[in-house]
Amino acid sequence: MTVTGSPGSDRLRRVVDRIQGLPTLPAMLSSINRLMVNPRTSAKEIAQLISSDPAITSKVLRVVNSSFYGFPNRISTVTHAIVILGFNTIRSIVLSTSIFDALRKSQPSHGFDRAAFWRHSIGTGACSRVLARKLGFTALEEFFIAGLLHDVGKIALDSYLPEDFGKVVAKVREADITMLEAEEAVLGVNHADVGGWLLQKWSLSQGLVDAVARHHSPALAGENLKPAAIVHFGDMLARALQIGSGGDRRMPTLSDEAWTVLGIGTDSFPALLAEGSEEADRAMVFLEFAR
Amino acid sequence: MPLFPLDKVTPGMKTAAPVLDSGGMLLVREGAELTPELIERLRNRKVPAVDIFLGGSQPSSGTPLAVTDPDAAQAALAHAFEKANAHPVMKALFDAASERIRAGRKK
Repeated sequence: MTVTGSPGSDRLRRVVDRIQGLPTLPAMLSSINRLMVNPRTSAKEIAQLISSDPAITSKVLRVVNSSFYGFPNRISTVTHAIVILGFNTIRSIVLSTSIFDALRKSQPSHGFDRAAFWRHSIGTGACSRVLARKLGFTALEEFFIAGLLHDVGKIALDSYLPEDFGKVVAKVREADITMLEAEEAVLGVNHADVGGWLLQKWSLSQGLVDAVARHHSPALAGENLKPAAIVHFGDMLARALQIGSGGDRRMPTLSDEAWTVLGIGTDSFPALLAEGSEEADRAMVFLEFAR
Repeated sequence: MPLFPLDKVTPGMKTAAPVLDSGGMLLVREGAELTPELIERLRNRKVPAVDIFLGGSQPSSGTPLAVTDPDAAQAALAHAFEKANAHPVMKALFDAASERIRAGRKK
């Protein structure tokens, strides 16, 4: 998804041009990415890099020792964590805790419940992870992060265009419609567009950008249709489980293209809801980074 | 925090979220006890529904992980799926989620 090439890109440009002073992600993330593309990089090298930042180190160890991963014995060093969980998982933990850290500093406006928002986001991350596992994907953390960040555009709008976003929140309450519908009516763009733009600005992967930017329109995600479909339906599962709130009270429209590409049956819903609920409970360890 | 249509709101209920008008102006703060005068004011400002606090933990700032009162959870679920249920897949999802609430399982 590119700002210049997407539908409604002029409207998106007009909105995001007014978003100033966005937080940046730590330089460590690009250093990790640089090390990871080199097949000769050792666990020790990445561990040394992460360990150079005590705040990030303590967050990584907090997450790897939580019930989200459920290891019976305590993991006390980053090297040990990398050996057990792998490079990708550790990078995902650094990325997600860094994003929480960047966004929690932004000022919330009135009327948008950030605590409920983050619970919904974590719930969607957990349900997306469960769906991805069911569909045979192995890079499960990518799906957790995509779900976790699917609504990040709302935080950007709430923090940097609070007057406009206040009108969106008021419209949702007044007309009892979805945030998506209210944003389109008030701003002419939606949080998915803005979220995709933000992740692109942060130089995150195209798969992640598409999954977030197209979580309400997976059919437009091109080669990333399946990841976008997983986040699209992960959002539905989290809403059906009533985990937190994305800011509205209505279910969004199901994408038939997403449903087809997922290839699951409705008889799997009880198990998916049960697994999603349990995984979301364990994933709430991430909430402490949003405070 | 179920959404109550304004005609179902009665004096003594407490708001679980701020009530805003269509211009974003605050009409009633979060945690306020609704009086007949306040309800009349909301009616005059054509507010269709209000988030009502049903007890348990604190409103908004301490939103529970999931709606824990089974009746409130079922009402909120039915409201969320009201239009979506026209799609058979969404109806199946609604039925599965309702069954979880009925079975009293941990959500």
